[in-house]
Amino acid sequence: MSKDYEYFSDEELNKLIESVEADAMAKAPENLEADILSYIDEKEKLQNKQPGNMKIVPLVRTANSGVVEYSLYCAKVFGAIAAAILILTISPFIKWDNAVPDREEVLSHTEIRSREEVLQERENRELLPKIESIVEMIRENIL
Amino acid sequence: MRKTDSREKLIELMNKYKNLVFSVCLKLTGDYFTAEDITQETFISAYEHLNEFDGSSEKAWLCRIASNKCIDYLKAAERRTTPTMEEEIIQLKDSTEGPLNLFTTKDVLSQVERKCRELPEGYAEIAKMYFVKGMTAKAISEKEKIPIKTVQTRIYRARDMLRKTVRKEDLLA
Repeated sequence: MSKDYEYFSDEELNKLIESVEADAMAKAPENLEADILSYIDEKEKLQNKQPGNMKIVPLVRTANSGVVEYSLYCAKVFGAIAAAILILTISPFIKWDNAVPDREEVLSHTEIRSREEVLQERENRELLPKIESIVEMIRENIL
Repeated sequence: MRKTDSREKLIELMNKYKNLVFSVCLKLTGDYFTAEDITQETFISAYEHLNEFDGSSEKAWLCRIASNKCIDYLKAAERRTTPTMEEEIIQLKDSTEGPLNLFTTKDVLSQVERKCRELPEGYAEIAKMYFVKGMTAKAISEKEKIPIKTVQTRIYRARDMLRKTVRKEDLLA
């Protein structure tokens, strides 16, 4: 069952004020006036810049605002993590037109010769001029 | 009323009634920092509605705003807590009592003093001088022979730590 809070009547309010004044009054925090005046100045500056519909951030934090802000922050962090995991999972399956080809693709289009083939080709290349010169000599001798 | 007149009127009201309004909020909420917040809201609301004030009694008008805001805060605070079965039974039994618990300034300040003692070294004493004894940062700086900026930083951090302690206790309660 919740308590039934009602605003004070005039008599109750006067009694409250009297009891507060009779009791030792607490001293308000030193920075109270400065904080209020700076909030009002900020608000008026914003109103002068942008009249009309405007959202003013309240000066003071209600007891609930910390919990709400924290929950929103957690939601943002988890959302970012989920998005990152999703991108990491999906991106290998997406074919991009301008994407850099991967190693397997490049190698599949490239003809790769073995070491022995290359050496054989070099040998043939060196051998050919020698054969040509021998053939030339024989021809000259015959002629 | 022109803006400069409103501002001057606000400063005049704050000089005259800030301690009274703060004490009313302290009495109704029982929490130093909540009382501070509501006191600020009270004067801001008074500034925004200065044109609507009929000029009869500034003291009663400001205390009316403050008490209404305190009651709104207490309603909202109660909505956040879900009583257990046992607590509901106790509340039913105590339903003859009034809805509001009025705290004495002394009790609230001694609670703040107790919390200040739990703060780390270097913060405890400064917090006690500022929040409990009501000394200014300048006075603390002169007494402790510490630079005023250091005192202000410690007050700021102590306030933050004390607020968190209060919120934590409020959530666990």
